[in-house]
Amino acid sequence: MNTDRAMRRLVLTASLLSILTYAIADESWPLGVVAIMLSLIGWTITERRAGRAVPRAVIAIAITVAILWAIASGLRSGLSVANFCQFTIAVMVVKAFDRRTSADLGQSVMLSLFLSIGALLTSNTLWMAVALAPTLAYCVAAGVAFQFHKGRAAARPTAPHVPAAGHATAPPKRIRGIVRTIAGGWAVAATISLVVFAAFPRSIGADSFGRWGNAAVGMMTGFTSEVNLGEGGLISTSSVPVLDLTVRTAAGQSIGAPEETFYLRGAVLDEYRNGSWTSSAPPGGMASPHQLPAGVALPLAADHGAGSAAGRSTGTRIELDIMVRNIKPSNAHIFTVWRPRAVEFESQAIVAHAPRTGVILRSGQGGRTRYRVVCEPLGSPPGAAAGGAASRRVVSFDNERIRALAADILRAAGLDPDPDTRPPEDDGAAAAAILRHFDDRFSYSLDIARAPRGRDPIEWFLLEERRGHCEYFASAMAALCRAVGVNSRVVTGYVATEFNDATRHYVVRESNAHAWVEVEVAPGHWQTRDPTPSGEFRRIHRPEPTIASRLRDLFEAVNYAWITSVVAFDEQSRASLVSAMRIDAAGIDAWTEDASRRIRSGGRELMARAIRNALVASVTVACLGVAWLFGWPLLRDALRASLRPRWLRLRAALGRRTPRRDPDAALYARLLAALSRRGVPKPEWSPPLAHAATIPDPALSQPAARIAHAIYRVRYGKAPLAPEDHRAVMADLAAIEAAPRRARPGPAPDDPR
Amino acid sequence: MRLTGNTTLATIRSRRTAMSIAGVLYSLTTLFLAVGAVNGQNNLLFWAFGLALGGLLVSGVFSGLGLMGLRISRECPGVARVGEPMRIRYHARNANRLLPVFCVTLRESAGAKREDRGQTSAPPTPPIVAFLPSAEARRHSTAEAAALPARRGRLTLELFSASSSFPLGLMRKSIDFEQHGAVLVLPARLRLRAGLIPSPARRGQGGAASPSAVGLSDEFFGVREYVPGDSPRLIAWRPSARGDALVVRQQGAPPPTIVWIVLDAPPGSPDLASERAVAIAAALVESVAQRGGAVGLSAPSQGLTCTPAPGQWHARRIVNLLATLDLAAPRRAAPATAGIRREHAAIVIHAAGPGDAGPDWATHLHADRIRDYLEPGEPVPPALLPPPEPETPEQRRRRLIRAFFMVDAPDEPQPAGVPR
Repeated sequence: MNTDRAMRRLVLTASLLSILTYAIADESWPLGVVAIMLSLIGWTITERRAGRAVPRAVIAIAITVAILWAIASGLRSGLSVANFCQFTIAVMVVKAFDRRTSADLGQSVMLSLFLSIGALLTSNTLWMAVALAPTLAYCVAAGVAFQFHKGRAAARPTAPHVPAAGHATAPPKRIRGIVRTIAGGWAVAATISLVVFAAFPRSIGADSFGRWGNAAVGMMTGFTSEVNLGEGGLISTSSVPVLDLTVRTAAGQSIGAPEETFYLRGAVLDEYRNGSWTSSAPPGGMASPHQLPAGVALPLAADHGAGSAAGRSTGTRIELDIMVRNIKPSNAHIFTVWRPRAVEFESQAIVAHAPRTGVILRSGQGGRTRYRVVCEPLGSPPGAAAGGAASRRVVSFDNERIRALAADILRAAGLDPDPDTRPPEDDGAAAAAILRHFDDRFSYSLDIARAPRGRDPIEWFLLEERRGHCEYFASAMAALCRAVGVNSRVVTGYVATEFNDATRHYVVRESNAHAWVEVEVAPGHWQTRDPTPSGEFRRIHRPEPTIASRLRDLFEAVNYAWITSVVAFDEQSRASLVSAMRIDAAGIDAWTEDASRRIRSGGRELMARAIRNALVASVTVACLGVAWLFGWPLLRDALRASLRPRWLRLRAALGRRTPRRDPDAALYARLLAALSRRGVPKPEWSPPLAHAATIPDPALSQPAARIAHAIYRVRYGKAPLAPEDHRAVMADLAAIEAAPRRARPGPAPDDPR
Repeated sequence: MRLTGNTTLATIRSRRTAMSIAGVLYSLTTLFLAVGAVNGQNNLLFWAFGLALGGLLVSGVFSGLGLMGLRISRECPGVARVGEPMRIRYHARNANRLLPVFCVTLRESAGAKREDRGQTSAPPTPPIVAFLPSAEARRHSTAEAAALPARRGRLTLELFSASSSFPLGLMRKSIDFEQHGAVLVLPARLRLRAGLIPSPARRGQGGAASPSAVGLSDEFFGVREYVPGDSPRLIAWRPSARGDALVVRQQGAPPPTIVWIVLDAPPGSPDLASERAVAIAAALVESVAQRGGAVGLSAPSQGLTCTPAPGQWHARRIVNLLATLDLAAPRRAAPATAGIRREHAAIVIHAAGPGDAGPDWATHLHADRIRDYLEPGEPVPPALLPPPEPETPEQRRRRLIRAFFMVDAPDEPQPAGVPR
């Protein structure tokens, strides 16, 4: 193997992989594709035979432009990791067109390392880590090859006509030794890195120098606190994970199940105008923000003013352990099930809570965040006693046709549509009647339909279109409820349906975004109603398991393990790991005390047992050693005998040449072919040197003799050709091939055939 | 302490550790990773910091431990020539039980001494560097350094260093070895044109000395027993009659051509001219010896006289004397014509201008006309050429501009036979 060429290829691969890693981390695919293509073009131009580098002036201009562009970007948007990485990529692309000196190659390796660090600062996704691993391996390999290149260059004579000592090829044995050594070094370095990873204290000095990059795990959720009908909104089919949810009882038992669905509330929208639902909670409805330290639970009070039943609970509390893969730094909605009682974050945050709607907003460090919510699902609606104690909030919906439709629905169900005369305890039945209205008259569609100009989207959906997505269903039901005086609101969030049995957690994706309705069945007592047709709901949010979905589950399990054990490794995890590994001094004392007591009391019997055990162990080890000593060569030979032909067949099937011909054999074959074409074929019984002596034409005989000498030296003298000798041999071969063709003579007179 | 056979090992003098620029950069990056990890609480940065730290430690340990077990011996060629590759071999044995050593650079340090006899304007010998790609554990390996000696003289090698920055080039560990070695650097080889060596003015008188070998001259050498095939004309009848067997006459070899080389290089002569004169003298000595002549050397300014004698051994002795001849140090001058007789051929080589050294019948050569004495088309060796003129600022400016705007050759020589 030519080490110089191998090094250049390693450097190229490391550069391309680092660009790919950053493209994965930043999800800037156009940048990655363009940079990789340009780098490949540059390397192809400069690396090919007789390839030349771009003039230095052009390189200098390109580098200057890149620097100016980086400065301009820095001034425009501030210093950021993205700017640095893009500048690094630009320089790497320019270097691909530059000359290939030692300094250039070393700089390329360093730039690849810097870009890898930039990718680390940008994202912590599993894909990025998967791409980063080979990038680092190639960087190390390129660094190692660079050492060989540098050492060989230093020992190269400065005078051009002095042949270099040795040759620039590495025998396979040396390469195996290098690979073994590097693998050992990697193992040691990886062990050290694991120790550092596990032992380095966390939560010390965080954000001392501001935010560097955005080490997000996944995509932004795109979650907003508004619903605009006909504009897409939450309707996303993306399978990008948004958050991971683990549901436990207060005793810590997982209660998730594939058939169990959890509605994770985000925004509560209770104001409707011109096809848009918005929230009336901020700013007036929000309680004053709390500065919540890390690991401290914040009790969330209910809105007691709304009714005494608001605080009534079933007594069964559940805990949600939620990890949002990439949260907004300010005023991000915290997803919980109804009704949250306490919330606790793993990092310091500012938390605002709306007691009436249960909406929680968080401000703090963006990116991946983890929190725990204690929820207390409320029991059945309070009875007449409770209902009589509080007055019902009267609401309406300003649309005559919708009011008429709602009245018809309630009349058909035998209920009074007038809220003034209808008993409050019938509000739940009225909501149920409205919910049933959507069962068989409407169909679900993800097509983004827009209402005709001048028409109210809800009216258009209810009376004409009758097909739409969850936003339309939720909006329509909320409107119908309000039209008959039942207080209702639209809730947007996610439904957790995808339960991973292996990890006992839910994966919530962008496509799980959903909208549903909460109905106030009694003062202060809200119940969740989902008007979306249940069949369509299952089809979208809980698809039938397929091979693809199982593979996706497998990947999600790996991804979850990656995030929970690596990305989310925090001070608490570190402390528990260290304490688990801590040697129990008291236990050791007890063990030694017990051992000494047994030795004292056991006496000779114990000693005999120990000797017997030692003998058995020694004989076992010796037998294993002998078996290894004599058996391993046999086993190895057997394996080689059985596996090598298969390997060769596989290589042949894959189109590789096998076995590979020796260089001298190839040279010899080429010489014979050339002589044959020139009309002086070598008889089989004649050695090449003797045959060269019999060729009458000196233009053929002399170069043939020189080539024969070289072949003898390589094959029998085991002396590889020096580069200048190789050049001379190739020149002789070219001379023979270029010589004029002669008529093919008949058999030589002394031919024994 | 021995390596193999009678090869003596070099003695370890000292050990050194130095951090390279890449190492400094790497350390700063590692520090940056640590700060970034603490600042951002990014777990992958913690892991990367640990990996970088591990790489730093592994790099230092690998290169250090590997070199510690290296035992090296230097093998000098003994004789080299100005302008011709001189190869110095380094035999290494890796005494480590497990750890192989990679990428070891063996470099003759500045402690290498030269006992030059005379100053020349030629550049000094370039640094002698060998590269040992790998040394397996408990195995022998060999590295070879190729260098072009630029001056004649005795090159004494004492100190050399073995260094390695494997695997990542962050830290360079070095061990200094001491081992005495000497290389006699002969003057540059010249291919003189035929006819430069004159015939002697007249042959020596017959009978002055007994011939030393059988030949075809008129001198009697002796008799020997007749063997079938001998010409009957050669039978010495009288001695045959005295004995019982036929004997034949043998003629002696003609006396060898005696050529005196007179080196006229008084102290104060230009260095380049003196070196040229020495190189011409050495080439003449070898040429005469190859033709079977007897060659003698006289360097009156240096007080050196070497009486003529035939044979390669004598010629080598004279060339060795020329290699170590100190032209600058004045000695007691000897008469230029001492021992040179009329029947000898004599060539006087003048280093500076026409002088009066040598007999009047001698052939006179001048060092500054060295091109005229070489075979047609034979170039003057670079060591005997005047040094290139220093680059003027204008030339330098033009070169830089050309290099900046034009596509030119790579900055560093590429290995021969390796396509780019």
